[in-house]
Amino acid sequence: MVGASMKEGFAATMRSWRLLLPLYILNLAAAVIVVTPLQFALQQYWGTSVISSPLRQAFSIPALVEFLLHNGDLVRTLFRIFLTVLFLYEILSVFLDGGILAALRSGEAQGLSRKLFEGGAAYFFRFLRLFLISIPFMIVGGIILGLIDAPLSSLMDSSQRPVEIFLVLGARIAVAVLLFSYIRAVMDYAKVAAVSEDRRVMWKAFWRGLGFSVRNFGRAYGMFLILLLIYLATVALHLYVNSSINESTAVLILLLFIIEQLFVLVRIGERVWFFGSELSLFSKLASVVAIRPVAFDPSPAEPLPHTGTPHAPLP
Amino acid sequence: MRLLRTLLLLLCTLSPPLLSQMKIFDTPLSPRIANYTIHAELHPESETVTGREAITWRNTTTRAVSTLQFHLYLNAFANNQSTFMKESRGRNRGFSSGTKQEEWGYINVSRMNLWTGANLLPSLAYIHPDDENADDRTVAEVKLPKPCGPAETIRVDVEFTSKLPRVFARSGFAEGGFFMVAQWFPKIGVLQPDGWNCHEYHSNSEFFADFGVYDVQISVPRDYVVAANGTLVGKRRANSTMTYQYHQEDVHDFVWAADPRFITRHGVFHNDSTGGDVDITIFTYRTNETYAPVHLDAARHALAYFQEWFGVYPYRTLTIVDPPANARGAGGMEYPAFFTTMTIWWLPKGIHVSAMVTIHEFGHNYFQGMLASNEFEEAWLDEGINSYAELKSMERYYGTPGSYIDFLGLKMDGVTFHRSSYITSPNLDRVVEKSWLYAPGQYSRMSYSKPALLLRTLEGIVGQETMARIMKTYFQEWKFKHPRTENFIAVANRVAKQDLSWYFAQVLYGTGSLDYAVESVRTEPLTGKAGFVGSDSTLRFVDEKRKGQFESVIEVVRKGTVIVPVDVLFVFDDGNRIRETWDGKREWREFRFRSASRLSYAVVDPDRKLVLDTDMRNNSRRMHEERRGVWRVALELLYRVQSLLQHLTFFS
Repeated sequence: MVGASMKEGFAATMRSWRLLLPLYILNLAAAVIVVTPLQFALQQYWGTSVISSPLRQAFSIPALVEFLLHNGDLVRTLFRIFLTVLFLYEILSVFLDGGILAALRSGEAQGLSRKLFEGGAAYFFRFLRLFLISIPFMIVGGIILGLIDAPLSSLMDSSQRPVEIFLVLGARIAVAVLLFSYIRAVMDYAKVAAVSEDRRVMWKAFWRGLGFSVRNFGRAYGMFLILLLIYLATVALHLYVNSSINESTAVLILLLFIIEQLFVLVRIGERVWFFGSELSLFSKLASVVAIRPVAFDPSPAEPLPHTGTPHAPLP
Repeated sequence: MRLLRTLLLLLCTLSPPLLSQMKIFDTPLSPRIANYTIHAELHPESETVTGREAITWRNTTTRAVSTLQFHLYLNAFANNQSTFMKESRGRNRGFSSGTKQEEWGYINVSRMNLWTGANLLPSLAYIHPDDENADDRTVAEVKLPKPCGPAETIRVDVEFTSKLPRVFARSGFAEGGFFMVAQWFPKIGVLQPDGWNCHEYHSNSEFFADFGVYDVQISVPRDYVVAANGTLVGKRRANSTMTYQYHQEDVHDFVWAADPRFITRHGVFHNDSTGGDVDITIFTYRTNETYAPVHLDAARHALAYFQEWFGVYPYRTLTIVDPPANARGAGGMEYPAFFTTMTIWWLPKGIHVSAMVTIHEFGHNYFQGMLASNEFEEAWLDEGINSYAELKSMERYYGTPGSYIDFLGLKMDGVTFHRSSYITSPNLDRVVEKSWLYAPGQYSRMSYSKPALLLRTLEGIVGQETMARIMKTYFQEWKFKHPRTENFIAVANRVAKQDLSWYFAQVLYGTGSLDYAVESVRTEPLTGKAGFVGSDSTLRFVDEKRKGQFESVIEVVRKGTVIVPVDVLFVFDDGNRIRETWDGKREWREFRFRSASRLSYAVVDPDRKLVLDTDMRNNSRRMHEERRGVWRVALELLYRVQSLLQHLTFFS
């Protein structure tokens, strides 16, 4: 069932490929807002100096150190811009998640951009509430990590062999990844439930997502982890490709940039794939509950033939 | 039985003198002013060392002295009122002191007699030569019953108990059985012509002592492994303890470490200079075992470089201790023929921190070990010169520019490493300053980074070969003595055959900074006469053009107050290069050139000799802006930001 859901999710992603473009443009635009002032600052600082010459071949730590140490105020301002964009992008991604799910649920291949923004608008405040609900769970996750960190640290300190340290460190990372990814999976299924079942009360959607992921733990969380591993593999593949290209010429610089943008696009596709697969699995496993059942109306659907004033009192 | 007891007593009494008769060097390398025979016993359960010592000390000054002064440095950890704790606020090099009872430390002297039997203890008083801190008990003074005259030798017998603190700064214990026993015994100060030089234990400095011979017996529980800075000359097993006997000559400190978990790895450095071998032993742990070859190789390379550049490493042993993870505060410390290093096993191999620490700490065998300068008063002679030597060793070992970091295409050398510290605050203090008087945060900047850079700059001024001769001569003339800054300057002046005092006055004793800049560049076609020339009847209009001729005007300025001659390079579009030297005495100078080509760019200090320059970016100016490099960086950053945004939305 997991495989089938992933397959259906992949097919839905392929079908909705037009969705990727606005998502990519928004990601690129946010990054451009951060990098453009920095690029101007670097150009102004390095542009007329020969210190920038090595930058053509490789990233130069000496040049970067000179820039950072002589432009403390500017760097702090740029960092604040970066944090602001980061915060706004987080909010934007809450908006986009609703749009992606709405577009995928429509099952259509046309007019996806419109659906993305309509769906985003429809679910934004609901998903925002869900995001706020997730914060305490993230904090609890952090506290749990903190609690297990102390004994693990002392275990590392008293380790006698490198392999023991690796194991303990691996355990620390694994616990953190599993804990936060599970919270994330619950939130994903809560979003799916909110869209599939048109829920408006978000804490109920959260319990629905939690209940679903607990009842179907193996399949729901297992699929999430498989998709997460694929995402991480893409990140690792990029690191490998990046290290194999030496950007010594303008053409290679451009080539690497294009490859990097393709990786960004692929990862956006993987995000859509996450939701597609989760929607599919949810529809297969969850008994969809109508939250607002329509009251039974015995009156015929077709209008009755005109017999005078319909509500006129009987003689 | 009585005979046996008498024999045993005799043996105990005689054993230190017997030991001290052992010789490493046929001719003493140092004046051997302060000599120690110590019996110490480690009690792991109470984290204490009990000891008896006999200090044989000679008055080498020309006047009699009526008091003796001693370092009792473990008292720095007795409470939060000591000078060390007040200065450090309980934090040192990133580690914090504990607050539980067992985490404090102290040294308690229970007996102090002259060899004549005179009891000195009643006269013991704690003194505070560096500040008004009456709570500091790291320096003690005792009165002698009668003055000790010039060339006279006295012996002081001392009994003491040292309670080790939990390791956070150099000495102490750590859970699991690690003991770093440093600054652990009552140690006599240095008597100079103007009196005792015996400073309190400060947060930033701890070394100044006379050379001598050390015979030390250390008793530990039988399962403990001991590392010490002497030659192991014997060991004796008792019921539950093992006693190790060490002998070391011409050193000014004795230090040891113990842990039942220690494993050892050995290396040998064949010393061509002495014809003998240096036995290198690293005491490490299973966890750090894979890093032992990194430290051993770095130590061997350091031995080779330092011998080539400065002089012979005379000791037969070199002991390296790699402290456990819960005692990193003991790492990266130097003692004669012994140092502690640091293994950060999870760091990628291309980040050469572990080797750097090993090379740096080994270097202290020269700068402060054999050239026993006063770290309290002139830390630059110790940390600064050693940082310069470390920088050069790392360059030789790993090559440039990736001598410190060579990872994922990112490279960093020692100059950048030290500049990143120095240029953030170059003017707040001068280099030659008492270590506890620096402004907060300035100690490492002024005693490590600036000296390393100013010596590298000096190398640029006098040339590599002369600089090498200066360093070698300084070592040869001052080894096993107490050199001061003026001694170094005198050697530099003599070897360089020029008076370099103008340079040292600015960079060692001054707070000014060095900053040259190309302020403006201009290049345009050369014009001839234009306009009306002549007068009255000869008045005529001319408009002379000089085709293929350009005039370039470059303004170079000195923004800092430090004046050093500097090279200026002018590069033209046709590849022609002109190099000139400017003495830098005026605040600015204009250069004008007529040439067949336009100027491409101008660079002050094109060979990067003046690494003390606080702003390298303004050292050059192009006629046309360079864009490709910045674009490359911007595109790379763009992708990084895109990725980060993507990864972080995982949590939305």
